Amino acid sequence: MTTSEPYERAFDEDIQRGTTEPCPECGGPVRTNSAETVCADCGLIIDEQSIDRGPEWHRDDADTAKRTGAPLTPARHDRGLSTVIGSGQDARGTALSSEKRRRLARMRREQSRGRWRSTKERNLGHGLTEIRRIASALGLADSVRDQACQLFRTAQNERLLKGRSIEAMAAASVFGACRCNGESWLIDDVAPMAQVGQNRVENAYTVLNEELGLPTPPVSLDQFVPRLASDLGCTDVVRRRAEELVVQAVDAGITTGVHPSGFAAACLYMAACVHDAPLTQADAAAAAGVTVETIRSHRDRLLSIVE
Amino acid sequence: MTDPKETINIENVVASTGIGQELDLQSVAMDLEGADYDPEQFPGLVYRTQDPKSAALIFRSGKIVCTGAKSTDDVHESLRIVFDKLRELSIKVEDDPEIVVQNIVTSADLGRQLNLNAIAIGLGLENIEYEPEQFPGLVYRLDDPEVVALLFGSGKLVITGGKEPKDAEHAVDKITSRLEELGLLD
Repeated sequence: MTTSEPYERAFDEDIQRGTTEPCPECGGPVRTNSAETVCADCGLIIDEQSIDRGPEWHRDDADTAKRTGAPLTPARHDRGLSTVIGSGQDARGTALSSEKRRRLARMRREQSRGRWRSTKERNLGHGLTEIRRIASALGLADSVRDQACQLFRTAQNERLLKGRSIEAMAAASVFGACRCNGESWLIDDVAPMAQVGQNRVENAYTVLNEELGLPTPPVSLDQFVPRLASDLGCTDVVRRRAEELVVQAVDAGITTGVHPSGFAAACLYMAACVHDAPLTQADAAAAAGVTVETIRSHRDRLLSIVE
Repeated sequence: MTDPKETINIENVVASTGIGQELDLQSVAMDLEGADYDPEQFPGLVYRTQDPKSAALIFRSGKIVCTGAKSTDDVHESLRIVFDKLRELSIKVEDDPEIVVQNIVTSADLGRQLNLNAIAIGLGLENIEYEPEQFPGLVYRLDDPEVVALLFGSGKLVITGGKEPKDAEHAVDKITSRLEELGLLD
């Protein structure tokens, strides 16, 4: 096993790249370094001499290929190949003559007019900007953001934007991408970031889900406990007890059709009661965005399985 | 275990028809006893029949929508009453205007608790919508018959979008056989 990085500079970005699959032999965690993929528990080498599987973007004519520039991204309407005309100074930093500055200003004006080849492209640009804004506000991974952008493009090609606002569809695309990746975001979290009302976002998401048949897995409840616990400042003991309660409840089959964060809040409330932690129903309900009655009814269901 | 098909119950039938001439709803509302007409709330005139219980929505264009009836016979019966009332106001209505059933809403009960998470995966994530955050039921769109079924954790289900009463029976048959195939009905 190599201890030093042979390509320390060139393959820098590969070091962190890991697989999320557990070890096929013992189910332990798997670590990937630049040389091999190995199980941290049993030491099984799963993959070695890993190759850079990044895109090779001039595959058809390898001789004349120029390996320059950033890879294409779906997150921009022109896939990242934008033209920006500078101003004021040239590449060496010397100031330009007034004549040249005026010419550049005229070129910039023409470029800003000629940037969009069609209304469709302008709408796409607007929608993708909106998606990038929401995704960064939520702190989403770039892969999820790119999926959201791709979803928006698909929606536009399927003409789902007609009669709906770009902003609503952008927010819905972000939420859809989160749902498809099993991320624990609720529409209550995503919609406030949008520039339109929540019901418009909900409608747009319904349309996306219905027309494109999004493969959205059911929301898993256990993701919501840690988040709510930190929002409510619960102790670790309470959080762990709540997580146990969620597992028990899912096994008992009483979680069908429940509001995910509402149920998680009820579990936290129950756990807090057991450990005499100061958590009121009202606080739990407010953090989860549900009513106090929801917490109480879930508490009653939980009580029936715990005893 | 009772057959889920025996629990099928028609909850609502919506039908549309027309009398082929435009109406001055303001004057119809004044002459027709028991009619509700508030153009600020709703552009149509609402006329409720008591036996059979239903509501007829009469629009300015002369089109009429009948909703709230419990069977297709009731729809025909209550629309006949509406036509008679209009004839009493000396509005010309042809003898037998065509009545088209647009939607039938039925409920049924599978008789046992459902695990909607498992059903969502079993039926295929692309074919269903299950957003417990917004609605506790699972939405399942069938292609044949072309109806939408809402499945609830209690085992009850609602079938909408059917044009004929037997659409609901076919849908219940399909859903039960599909769930039995998946081993999710026990």
